[in-house]
Amino acid sequence: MSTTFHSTAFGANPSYTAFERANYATQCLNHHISMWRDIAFQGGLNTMCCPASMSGGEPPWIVMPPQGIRLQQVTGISLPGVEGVETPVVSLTMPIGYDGVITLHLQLYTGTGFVEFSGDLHWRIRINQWYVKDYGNMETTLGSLQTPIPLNRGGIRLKALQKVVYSVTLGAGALGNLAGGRMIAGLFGWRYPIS
Amino acid sequence: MKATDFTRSDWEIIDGFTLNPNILYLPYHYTAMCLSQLETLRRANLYRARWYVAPPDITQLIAAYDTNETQIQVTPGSWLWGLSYNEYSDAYVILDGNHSLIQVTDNCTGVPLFHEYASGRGNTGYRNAQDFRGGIMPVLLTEPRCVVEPGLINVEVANTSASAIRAQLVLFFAEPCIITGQVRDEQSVGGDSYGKGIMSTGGMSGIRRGGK
Repeated sequence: MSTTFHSTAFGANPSYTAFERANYATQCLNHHISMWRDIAFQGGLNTMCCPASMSGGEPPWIVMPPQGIRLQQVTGISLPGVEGVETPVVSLTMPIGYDGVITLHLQLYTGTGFVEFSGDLHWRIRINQWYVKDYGNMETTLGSLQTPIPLNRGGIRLKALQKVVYSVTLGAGALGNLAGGRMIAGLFGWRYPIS
Repeated sequence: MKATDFTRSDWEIIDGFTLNPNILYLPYHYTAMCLSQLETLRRANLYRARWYVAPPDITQLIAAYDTNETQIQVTPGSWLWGLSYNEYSDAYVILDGNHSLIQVTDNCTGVPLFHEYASGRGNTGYRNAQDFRGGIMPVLLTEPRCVVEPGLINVEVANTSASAIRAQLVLFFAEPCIITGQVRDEQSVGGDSYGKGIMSTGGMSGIRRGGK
């Protein structure tokens, strides 16, 4: 090991050993970093590998491309007879070869006895096993059959083969408060072929 | 003798992985194969260890069915080589990680570390008398990932249970050391932070603590 050292901000401390330059391993890493910097400077891998855009420059999850297929599923189920169990209302699985985005949704109960934020109903949107942030425990009605509500922050992007489940869970004591009616949920958006 | 007098084959790697007798050398196991992929990083000088945690506050609860999102800023040019995850109850009792999912995304490229949200159970060292699935920590990546500008990493920890949890994901980075005199040489030569400035001037000092 080299025993020479240069006067530096650390001082002439014999506990430090000085190298004059980066070793071959560091140079190898630096070359790799420079390569990725060049890729980022040119717009990233997507821009370099897939320069053609499908819909006038906007990404396909922002603007539905011509090849896009509309996605709309609205389902109603009867009042579940069990409390504390997650009951799917809408389930859909993205087909192979398609990504997608959910832009609108709705959730409502048409029966009687429901008070907003009472804790009787818990709506959840789940993608595979992940509960979408801010949509994992909704306790109120959102949107309507005539006017679904836009998703906050633009939408939920979906990938091929992901399973989306829109479910409702009855809170403790909910069956004593709710009567009749249907649990209705809906998802709206589009899917597009993976480029 | 100078470090440059050694040939590559003479240069043994001496670090925690070689000095820890608890790590068995099992050549066809995942950990051993990952260590071989880390060889360049282990041999590199001018890097130091830097571990980042997310969420930054271990006392912060992640509510039931909620996701904690954290963005950490690392030094551009850092290399992510491993991670470790632990899940706790609200009473700080360590859990098995079955109730959480994790995702790490490089904000520069948008490329996530995992294709889907990964189970916390698969990235924790937790084990008990009935469950020995806990692995060797840290979990090594198949190869280190470099993070370039802006050096932002998005970390998501999702709680899939009906109870609030606490969690901590530790990301193991090797970050480049700022070389003394590098700023002076960059100003005079116009080289970038890595590689070119060092090699063109040839007169910069890399400092490594310890030596032999």
